Amino acid sequence: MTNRTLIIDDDPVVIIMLKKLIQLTDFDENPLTFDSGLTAIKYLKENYNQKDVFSIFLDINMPVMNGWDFLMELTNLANPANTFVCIVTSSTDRFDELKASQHPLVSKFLIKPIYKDTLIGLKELAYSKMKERPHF
Amino acid sequence: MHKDKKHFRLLVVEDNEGDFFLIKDYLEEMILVPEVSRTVSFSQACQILGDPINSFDVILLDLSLPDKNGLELIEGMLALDLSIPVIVLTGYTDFSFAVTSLALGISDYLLKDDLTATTLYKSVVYNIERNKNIISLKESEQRYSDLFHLSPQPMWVIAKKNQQFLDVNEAAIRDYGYSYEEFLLMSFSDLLARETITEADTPTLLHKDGSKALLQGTFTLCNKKENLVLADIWSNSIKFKEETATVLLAHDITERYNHVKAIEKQNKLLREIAWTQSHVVRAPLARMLGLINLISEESIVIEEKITMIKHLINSAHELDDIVIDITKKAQQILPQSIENDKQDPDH
Repeated sequence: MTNRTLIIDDDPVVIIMLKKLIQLTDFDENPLTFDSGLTAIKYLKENYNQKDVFSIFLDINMPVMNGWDFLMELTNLANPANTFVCIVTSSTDRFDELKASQHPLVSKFLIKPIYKDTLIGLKELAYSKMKERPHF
Repeated sequence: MHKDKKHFRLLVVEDNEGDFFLIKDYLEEMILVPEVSRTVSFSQACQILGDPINSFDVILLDLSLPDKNGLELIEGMLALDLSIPVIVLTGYTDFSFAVTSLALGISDYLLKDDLTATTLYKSVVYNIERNKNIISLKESEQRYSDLFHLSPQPMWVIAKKNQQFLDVNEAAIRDYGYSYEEFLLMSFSDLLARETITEADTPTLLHKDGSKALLQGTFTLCNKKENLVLADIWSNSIKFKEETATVLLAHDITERYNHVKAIEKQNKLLREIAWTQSHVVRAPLARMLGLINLISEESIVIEEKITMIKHLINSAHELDDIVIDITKKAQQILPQSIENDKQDPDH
């Protein structure tokens, strides 16, 4: 059982920052990065399994496949028990937040910028998910 | 016997001396002081009636005068368009003629042979009173006609069976450019524009069975100059010259509609700006905040920090471009008011 972290954002600078923060907080030493929902879903179709925990940092506004479309695909694939999605957006639109809160796979709605403290909180959440997992 | 003390001014048109005195006698029998004037011919009667000094409550008219008689006399008298009752006194006993003359507008038809002081008095009093009611009814009709013709809003009367125009008021002629005569050759459907300004247009309701289906709602009309007019139309059923008709009132809402459209367009642009603020402006700003936070992190090596500063500068430029773009969009919303502000520095 391992923790797999995915960063999905079309902004390369955001990816650099988020990756750095995830490493700094020991959330994950090697987070995987994707510049669109499409490449991420492709990866998950091949690598998703029930025993690992998948932490996904997902941007909403992206070309090719945006965050909402990605979530729709993910619903057919992933189990909320071992998958948690953090929406990471620069938008302060209340509508997006409301929409995200109604999605079963979405655990958090984060507004950029992301700081260390936020990630430390999320680490605890990810660990608690891992503990809940039955041992294979 | 008790005599009527009211003041009566009577004009007796009678050429026969004997008949005149008999009539005068009868009148004096029932009325205390009747003011009786006499003329012996139609032309003389015309003269007296034409003089504004004279005013009468009733005319007693003999039907055989030296210069005019019978139907011709009745028509001549009524053509004077007096607002006082005309009572015919005659020796003719022709019943159908009596009916004809009453239909023409004579107030009463009395036979000289049957005449008594009482019947004459009754007829005089009754017809004077009745005439007052007729006059007030005519005035009321005139008032209603004025309400229609002088209404500041366009109004039409259309036939229920084919929507043909039956009457048109001055405001309709002024606003829609067709003359009264042109309107009477048209029907309501000729006024409907081929295209519509708004989807809110009400489909035309046709009166097939004369039922209560009234023309009502918002219609795009077209005036003679082919300008489109958006009108709220209200209607009501009326009788118009014995015909079942509909009276229509049109309230021009074109300006109001265009105004609302303009406001909706502005609101859309404002929403776009709000969306941009929320989504586009915050992207580089959030990135900058994140970068600054990381740069202050001790554990990050200097080479990485230099790269981050480069990203920081790029983000700042990106933000600047976005702000310039928003300013341009904001200027599109109220170009008019900006012009006005320039002209009037106090504003």
